[in-house]
Amino acid sequence: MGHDVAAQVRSYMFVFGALLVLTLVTVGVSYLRLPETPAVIIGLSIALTKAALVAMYFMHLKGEKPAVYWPLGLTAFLFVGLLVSVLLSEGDHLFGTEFGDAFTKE
Amino acid sequence: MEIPYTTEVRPDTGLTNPKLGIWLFLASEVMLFGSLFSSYALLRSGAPTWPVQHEVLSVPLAALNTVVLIASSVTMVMAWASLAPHTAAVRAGDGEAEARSLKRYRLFMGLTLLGGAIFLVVKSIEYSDKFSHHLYPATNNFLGLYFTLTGLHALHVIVGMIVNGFLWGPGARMWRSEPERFANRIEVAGIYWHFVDVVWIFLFPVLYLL
Amino acid sequence: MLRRIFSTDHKVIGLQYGFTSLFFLLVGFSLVILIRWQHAFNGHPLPLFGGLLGDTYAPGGIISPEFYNQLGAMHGTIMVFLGVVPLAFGAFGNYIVPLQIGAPDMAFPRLNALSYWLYLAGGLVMLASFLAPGGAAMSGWTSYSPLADFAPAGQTWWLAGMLLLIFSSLLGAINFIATIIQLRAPGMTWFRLPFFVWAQFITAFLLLLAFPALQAAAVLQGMDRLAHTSFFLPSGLVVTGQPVDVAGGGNALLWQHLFWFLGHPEVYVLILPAMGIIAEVIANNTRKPLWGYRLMVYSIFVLGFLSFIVWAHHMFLTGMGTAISAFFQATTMIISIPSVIILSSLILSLYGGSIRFNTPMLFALAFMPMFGLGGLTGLPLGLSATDIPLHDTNYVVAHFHYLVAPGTIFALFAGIYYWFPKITGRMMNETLGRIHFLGSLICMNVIFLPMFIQGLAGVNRRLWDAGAIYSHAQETISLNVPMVYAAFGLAFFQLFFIVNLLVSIRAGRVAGTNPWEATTLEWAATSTPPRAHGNFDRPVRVYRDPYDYSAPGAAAGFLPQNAE
Repeated sequence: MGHDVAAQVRSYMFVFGALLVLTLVTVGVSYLRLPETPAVIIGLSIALTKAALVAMYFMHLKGEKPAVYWPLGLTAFLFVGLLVSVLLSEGDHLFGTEFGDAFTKE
Repeated sequence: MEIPYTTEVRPDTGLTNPKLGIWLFLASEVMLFGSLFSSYALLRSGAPTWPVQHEVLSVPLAALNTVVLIASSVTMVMAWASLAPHTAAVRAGDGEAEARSLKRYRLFMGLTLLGGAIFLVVKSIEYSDKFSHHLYPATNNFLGLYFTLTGLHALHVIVGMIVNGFLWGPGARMWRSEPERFANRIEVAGIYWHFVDVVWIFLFPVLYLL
Repeated sequence: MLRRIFSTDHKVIGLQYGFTSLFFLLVGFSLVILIRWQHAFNGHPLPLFGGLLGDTYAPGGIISPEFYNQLGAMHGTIMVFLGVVPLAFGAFGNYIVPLQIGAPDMAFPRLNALSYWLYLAGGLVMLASFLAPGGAAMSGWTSYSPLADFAPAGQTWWLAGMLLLIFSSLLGAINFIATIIQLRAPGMTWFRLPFFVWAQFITAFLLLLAFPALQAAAVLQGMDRLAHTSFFLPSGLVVTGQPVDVAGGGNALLWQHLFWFLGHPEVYVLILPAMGIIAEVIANNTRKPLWGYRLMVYSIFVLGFLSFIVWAHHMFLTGMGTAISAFFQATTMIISIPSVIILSSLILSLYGGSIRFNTPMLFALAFMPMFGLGGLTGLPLGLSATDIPLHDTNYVVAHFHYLVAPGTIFALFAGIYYWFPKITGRMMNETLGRIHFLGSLICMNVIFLPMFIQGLAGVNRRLWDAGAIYSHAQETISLNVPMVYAAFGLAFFQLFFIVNLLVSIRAGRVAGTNPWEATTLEWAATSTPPRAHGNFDRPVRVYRDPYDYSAPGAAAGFLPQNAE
């Protein structure tokens, strides 16, 4: 059990380092003042990576019995994705895209 | 009356009840913050103009807070790691192992509490700075969302600190009597605390950088 | 004494939920009787109570439009959130689920007690809101912004009450899911679970993942009301001739999306436990296993999942794009499939059965056509084109009341008559039960059937004068008169139930351990009433499927789940 935890502690330190680096990167990228779409994609991807590291290593998701966690986690994220995507589709008349009027276009 | 699988793991699920419980709770929290993030997305995409977020808010302060919260997550998991390997020894009555592990645990849990406190102090500096410039939730929807989202997050930080404070103090008595159960409690409290960190990991870029 | 009030025993908590929710059902019912009166006798002073209500609520004894709006909003809120769900999920779920899975209690007994007290607190806040300056919430149970943003103080109380209730439900949901996953007795595999437990399991997931959206919405509306933000207030809004002094830039539809993201799963929360109860009562009183048990389980999974992606069928008239409307129309049509599968399975379960017509079974038999009618009348609402003339009319009101009143509430009555002997050790009186049943069935139909006619004639819902200005619909509006008499009748027939319930606790015929000769664990393995702590005298082991009725060779004509 002892060296198991020692290995785990080493992984915590690696993750800590990775998280610090990713924080620096995300702040640095923001100073590039990229246009909205790439900025959002990059920013959210970095955030997702950081969140995944915290979840897998600090929250011990890695190595837990997959049977229950993955359905749970998948469910939660699926629904959030659903919520976000349909709310964004509200933006059909906001963005001025054709998404909302796909069937009425001549 | 003993509820089964409070401390021991149920073989076919691989879980204890508290661990399943906290993950279920987090599922609902994901939906709560997810709804708020969706609201942000809808309101911002529908707005003809939107403030330049990093000009209204202080990126350096928030970056500092990000580092502080991440560090507190590390110390939280180290607090658990100080206890978990020694539960058998404590159960066997090894007083020295018990004292040593408790001391290490208290150090790391104390650092976690310190991190949370620093986070809240920086947050209050940010808030009072906004108020002194007459920037309130009512000023525009960006600020409304900023205060609501970070306010709700800060509320979660406070609740986490109350729980962690209890586990640092009077709650730690359980280490001697039921070491496995106590170590599990720290793990479960840690899972909540890491979630609070994850929410901030998304709040930071969304509210400050984009 | 304090330990008994704040008991962490799931049976005590279940009964606390039960009595509290029955009280709130009575309150909610009383509110709507006033609405029925006002619709039937528009502008006439209310006898007896008109004077009691005072000049703010009922000047000259006539219910004011503002008070009418409060009645409407609070009737809906109280019935849904304080009445039906706490009874179906909190009361029945808490009491029966641990017994049916062979568990000593819920996974988190103290959290369970907290859930109840949060529910009570939320309920009291809701009731107290009537005393707030300006009265209770009056923007519908749906609290649409911008109207609700500008409503008097009672709306803030509504938001606070909802936050308490939602927190209570979330903790309850966590408890149910963890209990069902972790505390099933040895041998109780997933497909040996009674359908009632499956129904509660899916209901818990719906509550867990849908309610937070309303939490978020309530926080945002609270900020709009108290901190003067404009999350739901568009720019250029003018209220009673004055431009509103807020930053603007908000989106009123955001409230609707968030509300209905909860709102639709919420109606499945209303119906799923009812289906669970009906399944138990039918299997028991046909003396044969449920037809298509596995199919029903898969269907209820699909139903739960789909319920999350149909919500905007409540918003067809908001000017959403055609693509998004088409999406929600499609999912709404698809969700009728698992619904129909479950109803059909229940009906097919009757075929070849040895039917016993006791009171629970009468309610269960009536449930099926009533639920069928309610469901079928949903189809023109779910198709966006036909929804255009029907949206916000009395047709909608009739549709959902058929599902909840002779639907869910009948199932809840069935459950009370069915499990009363388990809880108290005594039977309820059959004669009073039959009178209660027949009277309620007839009165409910007289109240709600005419509403379809009114809605098809174009009469809007939530109107104080019930549509007095609709010259083309006057005959349908006069139907409000027999409707109010039926409402009085419905109230009268509930007396049979209330008296039966209270008297039978002390003086009902003593029941045996298993008066219904049922197979499920709560009857087979526990004493009647069940043991105060730990539920079971001996460790439970499950060997059989949940409905092993008329098993060949079984001495008593059925095999309990724990029989070897």
